[in-house]
This record gives sequence, C-alpha cells and structure tokens, in this order.
Amino acid sequence: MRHFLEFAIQRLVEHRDDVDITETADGKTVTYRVALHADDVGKVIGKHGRTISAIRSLLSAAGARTDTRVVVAIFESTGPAPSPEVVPAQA
Amino acid sequence: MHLSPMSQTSARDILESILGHLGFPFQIEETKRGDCIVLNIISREAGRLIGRDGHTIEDLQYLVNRLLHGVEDSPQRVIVDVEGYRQKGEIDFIVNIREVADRVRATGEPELLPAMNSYDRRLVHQALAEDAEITTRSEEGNARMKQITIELRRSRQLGDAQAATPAAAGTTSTAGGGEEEGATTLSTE
Repeated sequence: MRHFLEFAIQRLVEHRDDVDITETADGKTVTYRVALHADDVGKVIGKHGRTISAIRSLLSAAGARTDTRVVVAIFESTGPAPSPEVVPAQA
Repeated sequence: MHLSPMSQTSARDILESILGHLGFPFQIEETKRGDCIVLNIISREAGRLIGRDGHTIEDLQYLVNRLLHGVEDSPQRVIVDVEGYRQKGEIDFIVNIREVADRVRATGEPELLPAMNSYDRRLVHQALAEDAEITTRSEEGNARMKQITIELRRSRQLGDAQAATPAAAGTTSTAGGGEEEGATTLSTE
C-alpha cells in the first residue's frame, strides 16, 4: 500500500525531493503521514478533494483485504529536508 | 523538479502499477472504443475493485486519467472497467434510453433526460443517431453536466402537422412552424 501511495504522490507533485511519507501502525489501523512542499499540497488534494479522495478510496479497498483501516494525512513540510526513508517512485 | 514527461507512461502501465502496488491479483484486457481506451480488469477480487455502486471503479478511472495527464479536469479518455461491470451498466442505460425514445415516438412529446456527463451524453447520441424519427439535442453551454432532449425529427413533426391534425401534434416547437428548431440536430460531442 505504501508503494501505491508513493507512486501516486510522486506522479502528482512537482517537488519530489520534498515528499516525506511516514507510516505508523496501531492495531488494525495504518496511518500514513505525507509531508509535501507547500506548492504541491493542492495538487495531491485536488479540486474539491477529488484526488485525495480517490487515493483514500483505493487504499481502503486494499486495506479491506486484510481487515486493515488506512488513514492518510497530508500536511505541508516546513522545509526541503528529504527523508532518507522515502523510496523513490518506480519509473 | 519535474523529471520525465507524464505522457511517456501508458494508461495501462499506470493501472498495472496502481493495482500491483495495492496488492490485487489482476489481468487487464485492453480495447479501443472510439477515441477512448478501455482497460477491463479481470480479477478474483472484482467485488472489492468495483466497490459499492461502482464507486471504486470510478476512483480508479479518475486516478488513472489524473496520473496519466497530470492535470485536473482532464478528459476521461481512459475508461476503466472491472469484469465488464461498467459495460453491463451501459447496456441497461441504452435500453432505458431506447424506451424513452419509443415513448417520444408514440406521444410526439419531447422528453428531457437528467443531467449527465459527456461520456453518458455521447452514449445517448450514439444510441439514437441512426433513428429515422428521433433526434437528440444537448443543452448549450460549457457545463460538465448537461441535459439532453429527445424529440421527434422535424420531418416527422411536419408530417404530423400536415396530416390534418395540427392541434394534436402536441409539440410546442412546430406550433408556428418555428424554423429555429433545426431538423438536423445531430449533436456531436
């Protein structure tokens, strides 16, 4: 699921090096915190939230296979500090 | 920094990446319909990919087009289906449209369909394009959702009017021989 999120986000944003995704699991809930460059937040959310809504819907469908609830939180990163744990999106 | 142009990846590549990364088992059948590409997913988990009332298919289709074109409000040129779910829906939809057309044929009264997107409007226009007696007309404007009027072709309306029952024709457009009501309203969208 994380790979899907990375794939989609990397294709949506302009500042790819500023994307930072952290994953935390709590019981049957997985939370992805996605930090983005300020200019990219709107691109990932989309008009009326359409884009992030589609991303969440697909993650929920995939999570349901293992009875897992998936939460995605988008926020603006404070500075261009790429995290080493972010795997570059596959070509 | 933008790396590679979005267009170098095909719609099918994007769909395969999405489904693969999400962990769904799948095969994809690719066909062309007009200027659209149809990607039909075959999967033993079809139910999850269809979602309630097909909402997950809509989300998949939206995201494939969004990631392919890189812009919002891009034309939905890639149709994503799951095990022909959408196609079955379209067949029912067209059967309903033909029923409306038959009613218009019988009564002479134009009927206004609910507002629908460009893809569905095209289905309506195509379903009735060959009908000798019925024509379809989209409302004007640039709105995403528009209504279509299904009505008798003008030749048929005139024929009725000349058949000595002008008052019974029942259509407002022919009452005064209104010329603005075009006879060749073959809409193209």
